[in-house]
Amino acid sequence: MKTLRGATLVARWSLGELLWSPRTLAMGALAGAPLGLALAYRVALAFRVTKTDGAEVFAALVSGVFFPFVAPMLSLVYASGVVRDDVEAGTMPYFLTRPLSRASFLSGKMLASFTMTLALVLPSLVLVYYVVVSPSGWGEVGARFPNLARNLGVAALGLVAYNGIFALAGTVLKRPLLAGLFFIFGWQAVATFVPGRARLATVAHYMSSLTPGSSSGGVFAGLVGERSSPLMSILALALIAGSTHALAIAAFAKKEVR
Amino acid sequence: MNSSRWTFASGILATGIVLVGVAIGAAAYFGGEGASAQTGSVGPSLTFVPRGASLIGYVDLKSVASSPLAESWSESRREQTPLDALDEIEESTGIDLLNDVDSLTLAIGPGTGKPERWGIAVEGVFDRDRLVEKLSTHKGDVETSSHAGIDLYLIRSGTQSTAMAQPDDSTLLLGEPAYVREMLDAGSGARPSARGSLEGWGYGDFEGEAFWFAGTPPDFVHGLVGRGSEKASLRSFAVTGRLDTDLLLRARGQAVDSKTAQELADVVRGLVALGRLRQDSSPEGAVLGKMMESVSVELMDQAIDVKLLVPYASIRQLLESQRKVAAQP
Repeated sequence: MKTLRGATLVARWSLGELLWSPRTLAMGALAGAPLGLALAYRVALAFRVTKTDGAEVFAALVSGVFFPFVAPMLSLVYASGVVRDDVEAGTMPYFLTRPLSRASFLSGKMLASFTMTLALVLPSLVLVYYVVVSPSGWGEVGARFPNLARNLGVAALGLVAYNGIFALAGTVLKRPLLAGLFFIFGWQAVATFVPGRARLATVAHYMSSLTPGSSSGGVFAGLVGERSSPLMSILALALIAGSTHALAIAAFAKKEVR
Repeated sequence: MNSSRWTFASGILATGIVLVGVAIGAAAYFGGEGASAQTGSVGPSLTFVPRGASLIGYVDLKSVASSPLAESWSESRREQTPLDALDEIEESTGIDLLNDVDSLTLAIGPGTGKPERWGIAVEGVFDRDRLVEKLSTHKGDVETSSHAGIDLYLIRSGTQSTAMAQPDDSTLLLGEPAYVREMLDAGSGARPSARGSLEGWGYGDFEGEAFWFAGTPPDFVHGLVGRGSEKASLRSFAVTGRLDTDLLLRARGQAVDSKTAQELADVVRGLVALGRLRQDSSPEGAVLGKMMESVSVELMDQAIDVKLLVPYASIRQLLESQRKVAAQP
């Protein structure tokens, strides 16, 4: 109970710090980029430059921009700094001398970084949905709503998994940003398209398995018969999220920080 | 306002956008379902379709006749359209299909037995006396009987026989005699009608569609996707067409499970990709290429949704090039 209260306090404080940090401006722009693309689609639609279906554009933005790029990048930027930010700012000794357990401190920091990514990604996803699907009419907005709901759920699950991975990287590695960038653009980008079981060690695979048909990686995986079932994907993401967060807390408890 | 209040306000804004967006979407989703449940289905003639039909189709002839598609067709193929056939129908029945008929509802009964169980409910304005008069002068054998108080005309032509009945001033039923009797029973309420079948198949409403066909897939579709032939891949399917500004064809299918739906979607995507590869430099090839580019395949749980947009300009181009080929000596 005491740990939980401590974590909540740290999360509230940390959230304020993250919100007003310069990086949030850049991350806000990154999260808003799909919205810019959606508005460009609306302009193209108004000028009859394109006839592409709004639902298709939404699926393309989710599979091509949100899930493979925006979600992991936001998580990387926020979660990899859960320990490093305070070490670099020299505020870590202050926290460690407070009557607060290390588990509470890191849990609060990870909760704040997860909340930040969630607060940037989910509203953007919702706004993009309405910008691109609403020209097709109220009926289409309703008909495609299960897709939106599913994507919101998958985004939240994916973000919590990424948050754990990058928080763990931020806790144990000296250069978590570099390792994170390699994970997103190196490992995940390659493993998703490689036949075999390598894809099972990526978050992107489970996210695309939960949103079948909306990602080229997912389609390819389907063709080579290596898509995971929805239940398996949810369990895998939950397992990744749980284990990485727990490992991060365990590693931080034993870590010598200055 | 201090920074902690700004933080709180930002949180409220983000949460508000998500919650309002989800609430609006849910209202549109459940409102749409409610509306479809209220209307039951499309076309009043569905009342005459008995429950258990394996295929139901609907054509809004008024929409089709007034669409640019009909215009393009008549411009390009005036000399080849079956206008003579329409004249023959008018001659033998007194019905002017183009002017008297509003819509057609087609139904195929369950099973594959012989004779094929089929029926068509024609909605429009019919002159009953003229119809009876025309039937009385029919060259073949016409037998008159009654079913549930409604006159039933059995028109025999060789080994084939077709039944016709007019349950009310605006509806005419045609089809296999036993099935037409079932249609009359469904219309009178003596037998359950197919209202609700569309919902059962997973399609609520086809509002705004100029034509649609929905049903359970034929046997050859069973096991199309690697599960062996003993198990159906599709639970139901629907093909719809809109004729608003362009011709929008849409094929939907409800697969038995989400994995099968994914496999079917992959098969369709593969076929579309092959179609795109087969484009050539001929005018027809260019038009078909454009059509293939417009194909979209979407997946929602167990449902696959394939859309094909055909601009009327492309149809005109296609018909024109065919006309030129036909005109060549």
